[in-house]
Amino acid sequence: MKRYVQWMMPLVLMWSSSVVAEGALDELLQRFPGQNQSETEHLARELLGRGPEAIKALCGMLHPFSVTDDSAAQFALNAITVYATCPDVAESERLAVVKGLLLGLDASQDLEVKALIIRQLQFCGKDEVVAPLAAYLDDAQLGEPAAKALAAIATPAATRVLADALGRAEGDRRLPLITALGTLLHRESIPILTVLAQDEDVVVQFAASRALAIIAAAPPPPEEPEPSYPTDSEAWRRIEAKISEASALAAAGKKRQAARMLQQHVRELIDPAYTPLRSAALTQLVAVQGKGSLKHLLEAMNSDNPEYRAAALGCAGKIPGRAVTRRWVNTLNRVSPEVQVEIIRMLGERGDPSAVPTLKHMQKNAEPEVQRAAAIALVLLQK
Amino acid sequence: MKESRSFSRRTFLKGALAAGAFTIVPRKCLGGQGYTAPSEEITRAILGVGGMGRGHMGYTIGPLLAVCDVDKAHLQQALEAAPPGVQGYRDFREVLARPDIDVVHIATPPHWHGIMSVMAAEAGKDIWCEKPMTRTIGEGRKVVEAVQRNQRIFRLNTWFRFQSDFYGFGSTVAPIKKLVDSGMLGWPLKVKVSRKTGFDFKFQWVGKTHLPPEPVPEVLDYDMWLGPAPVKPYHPHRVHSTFRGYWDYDGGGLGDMGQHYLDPVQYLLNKDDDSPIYIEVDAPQQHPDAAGRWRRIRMQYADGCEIILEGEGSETDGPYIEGPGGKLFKGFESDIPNLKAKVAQLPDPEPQVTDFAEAVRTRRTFALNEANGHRSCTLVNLGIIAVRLGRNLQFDPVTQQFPNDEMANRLIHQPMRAPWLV
Repeated sequence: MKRYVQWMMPLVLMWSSSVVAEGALDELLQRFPGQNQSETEHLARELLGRGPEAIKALCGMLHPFSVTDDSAAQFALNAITVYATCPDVAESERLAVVKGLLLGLDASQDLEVKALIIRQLQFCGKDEVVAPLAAYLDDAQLGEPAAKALAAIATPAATRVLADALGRAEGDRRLPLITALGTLLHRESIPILTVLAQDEDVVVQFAASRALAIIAAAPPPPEEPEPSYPTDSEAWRRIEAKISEASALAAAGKKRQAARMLQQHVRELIDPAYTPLRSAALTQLVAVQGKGSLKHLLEAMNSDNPEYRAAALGCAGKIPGRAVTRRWVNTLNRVSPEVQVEIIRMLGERGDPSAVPTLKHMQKNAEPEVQRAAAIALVLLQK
Repeated sequence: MKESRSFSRRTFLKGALAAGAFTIVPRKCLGGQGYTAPSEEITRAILGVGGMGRGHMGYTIGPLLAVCDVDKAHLQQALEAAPPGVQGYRDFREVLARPDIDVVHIATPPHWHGIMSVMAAEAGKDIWCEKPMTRTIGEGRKVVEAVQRNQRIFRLNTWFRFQSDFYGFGSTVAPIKKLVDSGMLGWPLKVKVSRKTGFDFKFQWVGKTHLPPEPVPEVLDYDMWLGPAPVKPYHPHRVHSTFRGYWDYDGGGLGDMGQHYLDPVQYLLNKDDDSPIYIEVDAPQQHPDAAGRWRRIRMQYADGCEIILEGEGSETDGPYIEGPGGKLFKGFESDIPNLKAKVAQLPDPEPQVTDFAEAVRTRRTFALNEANGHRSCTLVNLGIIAVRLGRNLQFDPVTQQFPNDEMANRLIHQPMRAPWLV
């Protein structure tokens, strides 16, 4: 529920502050397609700035594969879809695009328009579109694009709705579900696919046989046991509450007190069972203390827990500066090649060219993985 | 809802299943150790006998037994041109079920290449596949796995790395390879594929952004033509000689000519088991359905080697290859004195197996095979993804994924329309 509120909040703010000038949409559409990346992004941002209702209005202007030429509307639709998926675009913007597309999907009565919108959601949607798309899985025409979109989204939730739908589907509705589950290499579906491979319907037989063949040919998934965290335990809830309390204290201006509480968790939560909480405490600490928390990030590189190191490296970009980069560079000398690769990747994404001489040196490292990571980081820094 | 969305997927399967398409073990399917090389003729079938496929009828590695097409008119024309006794089919699975066929030529549009190659390998056939090898990087990986798992021989149908003048460059690839391998140009190298250096990406293959539906011709099984692609209403520009203009089936001029131009570059740079780590693009925004034009794509490998594709012929000058030690221009001109004489004295490149019949008989890997063909097709598909997204991309050549770009990764693995799957 808390996560739902977190991602809904920017949307609510955006809707309340945007005035949809549908009349002006025509003028904007005439400026598509953008002639280069920056022009296209500018146009997409302008459209997105008018809020999800404008995207819904745009969807109403789509007439794919009809006598009406809707090229400008399709260019605009593709521009916002692609924009929403840029790695550096805020999650709230992606969600605003998705929301607009879902509004358009809901409002349209035209199956070609709906199919086109679903194909766009296939690229920009994540778990938030699973339930809306699942509603189309029983549809004779739209079940196909919906199943493909869910197979592309490929999260556990998407896989689950496909498997559930296959359990209750009949006739041709089974086909896209079978193929989608084959695409996802869904081993738990092997029993039902085995039955369907003997179905009296030859097309179902073929689809299920292909799915089984593809799943059988795929290498077995790596046996990494899912970490099981004691999230329901009293201790977990108590620590979680303490971290929340520290955040509240920081928000109230009591940063020193908050930092002390968070530092204690970072120091003491070394049991792997509490890694998510330790990572959360570290992330909060960086937000509260900024540069003062750097030593904790650097110390995290001594941890043999990759999840915790990833959390620390994920925060590294929040503390900029050449002197800080130098501290990271110096760390390279005292860590394993595995951790060197992780730090080098971070240095490439950090964007500070003062790391270039060290990275060039690391290209001559004896470890091929270190060499490759350094080469990629250099490309990122020098582009 | 247009009528064309409501296809029946039933008609095409009856014959294939009746023929036992998924159970018969063909005569040469075992291959590998214990395999007896056929002293008899290598028998062939062609899947897709439109423009490209009819060209395959003239390849002379062995007798043609079957042709297959989803367009009755194409099939009829092929049968009229074929020797007596050649049988016609509309469903390729019936062809794959024939135990007397050794090699299948795949000359359909690219959205079928991955599926047909995988199923042909599973059916024990050797494969001669048109370029581009596959429409997506994910399909390419599946073809590599299937061909190698089933110990098949695979040939991709572009040949410039081992024969013929290299388009407008003005020589074959062999002397360029000798020059590069000698180290005279230094390292890393930058290769420019542009109209100026002898290569023209054909922009007649852009798509149309407005295609009002038209009735499907009676001769065409449009559902089977679409196969794994999304159902979109029929328009003549979508199929046959103009399909390359649509993302669902190919990738415009880059999809058409890219592998011809780029496979030799990959060979020259010794990158047959590698891919670039960074792709930079300059292109106008693209339509969701129709492929459009692009201006420039730059790809960089981890060792600093670069490939630059010029899409619109705007370059007025420049070498084909340049390195710290010198430049090589179209026509084998160079700033290195007496280069042609020097190259003539260099040793020839490593010999390659360039006779497909020999490769099939001896079970030796063909020069341009599933593995290096997948890598050079990856160059094409990386360019296409960058153009479609209009943004620069990082790529990991080992995992063959884009780190931190989920949408780009969704273009690597694109789910297919049921019942098709690789």
